[in-house]
Amino acid sequence: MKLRKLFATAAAVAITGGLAAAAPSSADTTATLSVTSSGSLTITEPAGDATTPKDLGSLSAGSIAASAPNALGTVSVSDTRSGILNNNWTVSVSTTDFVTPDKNANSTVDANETIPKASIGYTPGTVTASGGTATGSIAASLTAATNVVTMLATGQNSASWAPTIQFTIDNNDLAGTYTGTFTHSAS
Amino acid sequence: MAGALAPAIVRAQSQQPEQRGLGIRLTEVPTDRADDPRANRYIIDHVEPGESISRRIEVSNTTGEAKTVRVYVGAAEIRQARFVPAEEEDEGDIVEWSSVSTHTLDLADGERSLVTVTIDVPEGASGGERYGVVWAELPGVPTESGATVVNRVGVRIYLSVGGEEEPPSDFEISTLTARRTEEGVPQILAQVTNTGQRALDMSGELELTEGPGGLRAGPFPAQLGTTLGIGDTADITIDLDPEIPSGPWVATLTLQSGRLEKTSEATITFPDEAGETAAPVEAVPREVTGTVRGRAALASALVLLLIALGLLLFFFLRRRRRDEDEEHEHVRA
Repeated sequence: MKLRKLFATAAAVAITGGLAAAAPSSADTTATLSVTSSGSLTITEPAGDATTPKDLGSLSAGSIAASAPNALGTVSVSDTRSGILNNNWTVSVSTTDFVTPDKNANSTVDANETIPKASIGYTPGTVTASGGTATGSIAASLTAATNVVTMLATGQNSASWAPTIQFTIDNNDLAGTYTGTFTHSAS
Repeated sequence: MAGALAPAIVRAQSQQPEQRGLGIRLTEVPTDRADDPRANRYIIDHVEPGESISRRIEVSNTTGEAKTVRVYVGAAEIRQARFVPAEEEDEGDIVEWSSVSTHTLDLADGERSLVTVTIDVPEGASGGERYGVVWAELPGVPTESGATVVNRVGVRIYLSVGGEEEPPSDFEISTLTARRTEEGVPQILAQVTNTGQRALDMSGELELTEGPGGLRAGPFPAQLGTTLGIGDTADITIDLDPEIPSGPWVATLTLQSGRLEKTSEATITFPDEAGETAAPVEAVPREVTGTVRGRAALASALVLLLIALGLLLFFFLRRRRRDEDEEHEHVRA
């Protein structure tokens, strides 16, 4: 009798112990610990040109896709963080509509003064990488922020590319200098 | 003065890529997530409504000149298996709940500065995971083409709001599909579903064994840094070496997200023709316990069971000896 009771108790202890180890921890006090890494995830400054923006070129109107070679200069991202176990990162691109200043002189931005985001594409081209595998993907239409470069690495790495931009210009668009802003977001 | 030696300054011979630009990094992680690779580079946490979290991030300027850097929190989302800025970046819970200690940093070339991000989750907040990024942004620069370019770097935020217990993370590898690209490169597509309640950042590797002539190949890294939203299914692509024979092979795929790791395998054969895709093969899981925590639980349960059995044996033997002694006494009497 005593033996059976002993067995039951021992079994209960074993099962409870196992369950306790498996149960997720309840609300912890947020004691923090310093990450011992150094380094950082870095993006270069755009290779700019302080002169006034130039014409997109004298393109005859029509639905054509214009590509501006090496349009945005070279973009480089490097990840020199150490001791963080994984150094993956991604870069996405977004754009504003491209607009030519009020050609219609009616104080509004009309459709024929706009190249909408959806008509703008971004091609990273060849991505040169070291320390990991970087994959570039084409964003055919920048309606929303789209991933264009993905780096997979378990240590320090870097990648760079010289993107080209594609604009699909509508028949109705007025000739002029169209300006807008591209944003590269690395995280 | 002659002969005085100054201590040598030893510079570590690192193969560091040259770093010029605006940099960011996370500088702290909660102790209970210190072994989670994702928590070491992203702000990952689980809180109840009414709680707050904070993290310090470091912003550094190595552009070559002084810069005014904008720091702010933007909303993010998971679209087509990628973590991207949200369409309406300056709206939503994460933006409303977050604040940064400095909105504008004036950094000299070579200077770095710490910024504290605080997220105050209000009492009435609904459950679920929120996504965002703490951005450090350079001023826009006009370029030759007429476009202005703004470059920014950030630390992702994955914040889960809910009850006392953190919702579980889980995923399933359902099928492995062998194909050959148009260029003839053999590829494996792994169909993965996020069956848990938190977003996952997938990475991993594939090994091929039991190939023609007993060949082995790999490991090959899972190439696309996929972020899998809750309930989403995506194909993770693994590119293999064009030299390997078509098969058949036993393909073993191990995928991880943070501390969660699972392995599945399937027998596959690559098509001989470029641009062809073979039929998907069901992937069979290879390990019972998928998590470090699960394995630890199993191990401790086994140890306790052994201790329990040991105790049992001890008391049993003692009882038998006492019984034997009593018997001898009776006999003597």
